[in-house]
Amino acid sequence: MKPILAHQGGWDEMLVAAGLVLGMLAFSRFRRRRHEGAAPHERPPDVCAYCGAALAPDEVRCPSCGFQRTRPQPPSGPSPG
Amino acid sequence: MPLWLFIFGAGTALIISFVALSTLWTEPRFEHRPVRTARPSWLQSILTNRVLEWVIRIVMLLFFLVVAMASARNASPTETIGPIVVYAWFWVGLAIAHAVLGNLWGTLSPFDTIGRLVGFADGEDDDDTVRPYPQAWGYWPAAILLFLFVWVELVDPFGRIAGHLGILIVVYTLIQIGGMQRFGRRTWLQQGEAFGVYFGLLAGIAPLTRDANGRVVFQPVLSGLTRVRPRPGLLAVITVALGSTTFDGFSRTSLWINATARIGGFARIVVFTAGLLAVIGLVTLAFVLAMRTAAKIVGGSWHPLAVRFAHSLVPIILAYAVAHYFSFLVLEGQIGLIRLSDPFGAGWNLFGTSDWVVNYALVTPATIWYVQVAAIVIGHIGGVILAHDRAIAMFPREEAIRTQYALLAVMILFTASGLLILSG
Repeated sequence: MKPILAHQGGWDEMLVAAGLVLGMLAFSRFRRRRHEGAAPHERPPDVCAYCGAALAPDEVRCPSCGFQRTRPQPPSGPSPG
Repeated sequence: MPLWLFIFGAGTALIISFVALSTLWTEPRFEHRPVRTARPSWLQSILTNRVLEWVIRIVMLLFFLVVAMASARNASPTETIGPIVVYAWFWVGLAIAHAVLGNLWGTLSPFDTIGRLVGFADGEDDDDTVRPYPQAWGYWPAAILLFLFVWVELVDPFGRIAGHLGILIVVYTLIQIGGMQRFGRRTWLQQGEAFGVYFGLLAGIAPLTRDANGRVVFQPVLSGLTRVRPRPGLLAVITVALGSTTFDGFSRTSLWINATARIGGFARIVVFTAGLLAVIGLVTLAFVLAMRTAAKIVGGSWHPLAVRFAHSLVPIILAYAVAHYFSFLVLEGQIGLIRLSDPFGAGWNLFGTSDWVVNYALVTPATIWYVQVAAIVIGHIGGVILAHDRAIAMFPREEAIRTQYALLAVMILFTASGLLILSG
């Protein structure tokens, strides 16, 4: 097989993949900083965490999917880190 | 080419796919996508023809009875049509057919046909003739039955009992009849029948589905999986399917063969069962760790996330099924064609195929390897696409992409370990 990179058989080819991942991380950090201060992502409180169906306050299991309701979730805005 | 280069290439393909998705796939394309409605046509009238449907149902029911009877005979596994049809045509061939053609089991299932012939109630919500199906059960009966099936296949605990497969088919059928009678045919088959749930998941990959009128329509490949209903036991069904195929591959590696070569009898059953459970456990653990990481990023608990992202593992189930069993289906599957003429090993030649021989030159080892690598890579890329699509539907985009880092790492781990196992 004709080698694509400078030489074949070394772990330095992994640098391509690592470079892509690092670039991706840097790009997402850059975008996150730009969007900092945006409105937090709000979630209605009485919604099944599994299927999104509306739940009555006294329902232990979701009538749609059968999962037990999870404890109330903290609002999930952009998290640090 | 050395193995590490395949692993490196596959891992890189996944990372490049992830980067491309992150930058180019900015809106959900599969989530909440309505199923198209087909117009009536001559082709649709054939595909929805009730008489044709019932002809297929009756033929399949008769074939099922032949396979069950053949499996119960005191004969070697390839002497009758039984085991080869169950493990090659049904377990592998039908699984792949579902991923290409959509849900066929709804029509082919002998259990559904039995239920319809007997006249069991549907078991819908307003149906008071049957007991309500316990919501907490969800897919758990299917998960347990699926585990028992793969346990019988891979651990072979009843190998010394001649005709055990036929007995197990009868037991399984009785469980289905009991389930349908108690909870209603449709309710039970959708949640408790292992193969209905398993094939139903794989059918979500297919580019074909049916609209509300039962007509066949096209849909984007994989998009049907976004309609998989979250229920208790969903993750268990998926990890049993994934882990069992992985264990099957692992149990053929020199590492496992050398380690277990001297173990026999009951100890072998115990060791193989422990191995099967351990691999299913490891697959589950890797996925759960990825979901815990994602849950930390978005806040909240990991379990709902694990259930909502479990569908992303289904393309990998298909990938492993193709990678591990493609050659088995193509080569050993031919025995089924030969035995079709003599299903009970009684010396018949009904269709003139009894004197055929298996053509082992049909696929070369190189072809098998490239099919395996392609299946593994494409399956994992499919998983990354599904997870990404759901993440951007659930979370703000930047957060969505960050939730996928750990799952991407797990996908790369699965890809690498899958290729390592296949290479022996």
